[in-house]
Amino acid sequence: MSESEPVVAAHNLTKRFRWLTAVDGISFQVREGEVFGLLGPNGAGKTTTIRMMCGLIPPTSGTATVLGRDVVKEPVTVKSSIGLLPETPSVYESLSAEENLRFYCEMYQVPRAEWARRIDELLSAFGLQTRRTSKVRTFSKGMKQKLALARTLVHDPPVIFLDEPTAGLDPESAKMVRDKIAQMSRDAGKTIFLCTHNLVEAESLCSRVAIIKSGRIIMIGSTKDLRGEATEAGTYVVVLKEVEASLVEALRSLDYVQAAEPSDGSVRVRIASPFDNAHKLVEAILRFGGRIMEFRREARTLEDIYLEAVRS
Amino acid sequence: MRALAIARKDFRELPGYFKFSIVLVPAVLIFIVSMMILASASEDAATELPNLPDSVFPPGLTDMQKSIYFAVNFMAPPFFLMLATMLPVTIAADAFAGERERKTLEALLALPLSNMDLFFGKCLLPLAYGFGASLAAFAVISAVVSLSFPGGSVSVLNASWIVLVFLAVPAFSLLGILVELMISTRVDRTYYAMQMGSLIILPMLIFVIGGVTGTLIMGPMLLLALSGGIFLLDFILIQIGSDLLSRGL
Repeated sequence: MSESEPVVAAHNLTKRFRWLTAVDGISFQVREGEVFGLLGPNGAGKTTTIRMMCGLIPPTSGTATVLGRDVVKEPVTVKSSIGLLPETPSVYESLSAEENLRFYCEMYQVPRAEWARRIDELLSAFGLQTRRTSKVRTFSKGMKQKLALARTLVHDPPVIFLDEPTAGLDPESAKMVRDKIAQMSRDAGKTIFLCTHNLVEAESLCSRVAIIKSGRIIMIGSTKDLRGEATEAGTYVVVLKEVEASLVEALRSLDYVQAAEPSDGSVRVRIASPFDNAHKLVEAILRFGGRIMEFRREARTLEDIYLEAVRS
Repeated sequence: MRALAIARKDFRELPGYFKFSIVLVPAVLIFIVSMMILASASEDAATELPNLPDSVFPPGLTDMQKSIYFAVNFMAPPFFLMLATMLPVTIAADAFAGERERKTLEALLALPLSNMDLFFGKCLLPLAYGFGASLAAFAVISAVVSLSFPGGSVSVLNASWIVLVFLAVPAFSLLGILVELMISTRVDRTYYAMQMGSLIILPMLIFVIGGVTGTLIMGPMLLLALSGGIFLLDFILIQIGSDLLSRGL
């Protein structure tokens, strides 16, 4: 596989369950070392997409490849090169933490001589060393999720699929899992495909995201690009020496101004086509007698973009 | 080797009531065969023996010995086959439905195993359980019969029983396991799989009725032919079952 080829790719991927089209012709590419987020509300098709990408369910049409291999034609090869963390922890409760990892070492054909070292490393990395011989049924949900993540990494896969990795975890455990994901991408160069509806998590971890709604990707790009290109409008915060009602009214009368709201020494002005109109707004404020102390574009969060996209 | 690892893991994950059945089923088998011997060892039973040609009995048996021989060699084997098949079928119900219930199925299906390997791995535990239980029951029954008839006039150490225990029970058990595994891939609960899977046993009632009435004698040749046919069917079902897995969750 050449460097320019995507590590994970979907082309017109579709899944129908009788009358329901869960995923409807989606396409995307994930490059090596990227953390790619698939965002969407419940039932949008995130889990179905991840299941198809991991070869757990066959697509109705379209193709999915991982490391250049078709997931339908070469499922065993694909599965040996990926790690999957499903939505639920998927660890065997009657086995101990160590026994769980040993089982997966054997299943992924990790050389037997490496088992002990690999298991020690993973249990230490996830803070489970002291509970290595305890039955998993005695673990908290956070501990199970950490063990599940450790299990996902047991064969050191280059590509990792994570489905809602922090769902239901307490804030401390969630942060620990997020830190691990960031570390895997940053230090180990793993390619990570992350399904989530936790937007703060996506914003902090993902270099690129796709927003999926009713089985279709409605927006895709880097978080930076999405903030800039998600809309043709932009909101500016103008801090003025004095905010006069007449000035606000005058601004509202401008054809490119969509909204102007005074707020404690400043005015929030939403304008159409910021690239064409931002400088006109500054000129207009000065013309109306406003004395500008500060003029800045309001940073949009991924949450703003997401909510705008899924509500549209 | 990986199939063995799946079987070992399945054993550890098997709910306790399934583990208990390895003792229960042989106990029931031993009880039923012992009761049959006791019931047949009477003058009344000897007179009610179905009208069978003398050639099916060893020469020189008295009427009562014939009655006991009939119970041990013609009536008991179908019961033995049916009960020995029930145990692995029950355990197989947990194979995929249990993984789905315990939310571990996704990770299992994500393993780099061919569907055939996974299906085979899931067969091993119930098959070993069923075979082990039937061997244990056979050993006890054999001892009971030998002790009851020290002269060897009635024995289970004959061709019919040997073919039954070492060929027919594995063949029928595997058939039941494979059908149950296919059901287990499609349902959400082990309980549902067990309910549906219990229907697999029903056709075996033909052998039981045939044995009791003396109309279907399970001789070694019939058992050999049946086992061969069932093993062939098992082979086809492994392919079909593996294909079912490729349809996904």
